[in-house]
Amino acid sequence: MELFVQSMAYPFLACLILTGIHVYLGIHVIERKVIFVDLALATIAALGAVWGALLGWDAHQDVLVIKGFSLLFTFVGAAVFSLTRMRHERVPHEAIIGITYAVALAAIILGSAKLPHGAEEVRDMQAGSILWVTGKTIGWTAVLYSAIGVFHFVFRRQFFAISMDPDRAEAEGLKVRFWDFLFYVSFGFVVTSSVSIAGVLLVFSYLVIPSVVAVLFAERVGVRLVLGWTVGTLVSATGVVLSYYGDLPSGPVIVVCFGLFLALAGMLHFVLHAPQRGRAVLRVVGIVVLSLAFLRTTLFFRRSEEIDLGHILEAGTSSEKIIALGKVRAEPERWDDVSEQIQRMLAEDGIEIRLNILSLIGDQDREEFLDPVLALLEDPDDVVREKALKCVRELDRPESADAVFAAAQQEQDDYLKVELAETLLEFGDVRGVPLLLDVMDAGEAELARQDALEHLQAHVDLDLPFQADAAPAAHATEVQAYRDWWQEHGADVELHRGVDGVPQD
Amino acid sequence: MKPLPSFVKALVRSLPTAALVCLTVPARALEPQPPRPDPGGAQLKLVTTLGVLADLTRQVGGQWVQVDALARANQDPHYVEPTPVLMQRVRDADALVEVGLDLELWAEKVAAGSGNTRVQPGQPGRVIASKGVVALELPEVLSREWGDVHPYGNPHVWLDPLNARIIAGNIATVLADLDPEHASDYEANLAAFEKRIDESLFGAELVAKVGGKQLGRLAKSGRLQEYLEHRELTDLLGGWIAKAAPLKGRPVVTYHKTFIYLADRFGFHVPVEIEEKPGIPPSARHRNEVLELIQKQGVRTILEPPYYDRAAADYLSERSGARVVVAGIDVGETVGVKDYFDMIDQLLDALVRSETAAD
Repeated sequence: MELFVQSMAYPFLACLILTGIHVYLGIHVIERKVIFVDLALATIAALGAVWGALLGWDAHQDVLVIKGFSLLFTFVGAAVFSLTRMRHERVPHEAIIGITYAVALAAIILGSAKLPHGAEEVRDMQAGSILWVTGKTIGWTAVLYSAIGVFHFVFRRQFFAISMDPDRAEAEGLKVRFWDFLFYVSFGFVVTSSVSIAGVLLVFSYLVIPSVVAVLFAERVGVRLVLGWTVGTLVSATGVVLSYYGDLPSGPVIVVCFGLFLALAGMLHFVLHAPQRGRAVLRVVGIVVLSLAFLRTTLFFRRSEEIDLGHILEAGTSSEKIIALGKVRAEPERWDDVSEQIQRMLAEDGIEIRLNILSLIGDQDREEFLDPVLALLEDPDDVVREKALKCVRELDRPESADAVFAAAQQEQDDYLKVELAETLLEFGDVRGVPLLLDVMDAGEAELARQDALEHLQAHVDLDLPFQADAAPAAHATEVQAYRDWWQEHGADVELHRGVDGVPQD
Repeated sequence: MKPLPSFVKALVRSLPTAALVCLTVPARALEPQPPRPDPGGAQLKLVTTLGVLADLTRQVGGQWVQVDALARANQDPHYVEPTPVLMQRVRDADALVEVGLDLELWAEKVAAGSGNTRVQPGQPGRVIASKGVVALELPEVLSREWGDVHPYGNPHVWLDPLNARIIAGNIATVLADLDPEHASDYEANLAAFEKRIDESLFGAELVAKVGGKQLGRLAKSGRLQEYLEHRELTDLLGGWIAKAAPLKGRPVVTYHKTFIYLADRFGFHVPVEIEEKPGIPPSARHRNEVLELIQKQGVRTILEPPYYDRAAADYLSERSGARVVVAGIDVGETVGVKDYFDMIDQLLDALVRSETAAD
């Protein structure tokens, strides 16, 4: 509980601040029937920020300049909205607001196509980040919103007059356009800062939903305000708790809670105002049951979890294939179903798949794959060759010796050549010795020559003056002499079971 | 109606300026193209998705190629808007080079819209640079969820210099196929690049003694340290790996799973990412877990590329004292990184500085 308070206190405070101002503004917005005005203004503000960024200001370093651009654009938007509110409207105001929203959003997309981080910022603007709000931001926002609140309280007569009944306000001598402009400017201030805290979705919900609930149940402004604030606070608290304990993103949870709350409120309103309460209750219950039944029915269409391993190994993505291989590892009886696919994958598939199969074959000793594994000893990729050799050693079949020898003759990498020779010697195949001698007098790196020497010493009693750190050809004569001796007597030499010089993984 | 005329007048008066700004801004936002040397039209024209691929192509292609990157270096490589201009730039390319592993899904749209048959999927001119790279972050064992991973593994493969070596090799193969006349040049350039990578990574002395490929294999399988101790070569270790010694075992928090290849090569680890899933804001519980983990493990650095939202990193930094380090993961003027080596240098410098700075 303590952790909950500690971690959710700021987001909850932010929600309360949002509730405070937006419920009030929402009542105006609903009276004016301009539901989407906040979306439009928020988009215009974001357009301002994009414009500022296009002019070269940085969104992180020049925060104030960018904010200035946002506000400037918002004021222009406010001017447009107050000028386009017509008395005997031919074009509904909402249409103009919607058009502004669409055009501004399109302009943002155009502008952000020219910005490095445009797409991300547009995304962040939609989703918001109420979880990351800091105490400082909350403080500043509270001060700003209080100032705007006081401003609206002082001029409440004018503001409510122009929202509720503009005709009468005009007749009484109010400058409706001027007050409209002030309304939209203050509204723009609020929306711009709210969106930067909470994102467009959440701000829209705070503005509209509590007010709609309030309008459903009350006529007087004071009552509506109290009702809206109560709803906002309750839903914020529910959303914050649910998001914390349900491990869900806060913003979207609050929005969905608002939606559910509105549905409940709507049903309650329907029942309270119905001529016959009993029938109304039955209808509501019927609708709820039907909706639940609908949801339940959709569950029958859940995608089945039956897995066709062969198909996945043929057509799946890398991670699906690896998961499928994990299933084969856990249930060895599945090998028979998939051995054809595995042969093909070993030859053709992506490197991580091939490495995975190689360790699977080695671990489970699937000797039926010996041939395709031996083929990989001549793969172009040195990591694959190394892993294939490890697998060959794990399978430990002496009949691999010819293939290992062929691969060793081809091998360009000195270290891998040493390992191939070592494998031969472990099989008791003396052809490994000349291979090691090859590396000793022609190996490029000092350590490779050293490696070859140590492997040789581990398997035969060697009396050969050889310094790996000397130039590669320094011991050519001695090595050649040993090579000649080996040619004659090698077949009779009894090999020691060697100790591997290089640590293996 | 009084304020209307003056408002309109002001608007009209500002129109010429506005028009001018409209014309100049897009021109400014497009990066200036460096002048290209033209040795008689014999060059291959390649287009890459990222600046880093362009740089690797330049290193391998040398004078025989002209290369152009589609994404800007400070842009999220996952999200680039496939505009007609980008399609135009691919139209007459001999090849389109992409990382693959589902990193640049937008490249598909650009290629399709370009009308260039040579760069369509499956053509030799469509180069998947990450071929042969061992992708990380694939599920190791049977997991409950099928969807919760990158379908082809984590795509930010180029941040491991050993993978850059493989990528350069893939590019060299393609160049030799497209332009067999200069194949030997490409091969020589590749060898020089591989040597430079090996020496930058392990130090020239150690490379001379052990050989780059062997060191690479040892490093990839995590046996390098053990091997060097066994052979008593530890003192010879130089280059980036020696420079990154202070990072060894350190936890570094990142926003997205961008840096796991860098972490894997240089010995630090990423215990947690700030984002839970790409594009979805993290829940409070996840945020708390990240913060708690930062405090408990003593994380000093939160590392992120320049294109992520700073709010989360700043929040965590403010509460934990960990430093936010913003470092580019691509090559290009916009991030002040001139080539691949410079990029790794800058990343390591920033990380080491943050990890070793006195608090």
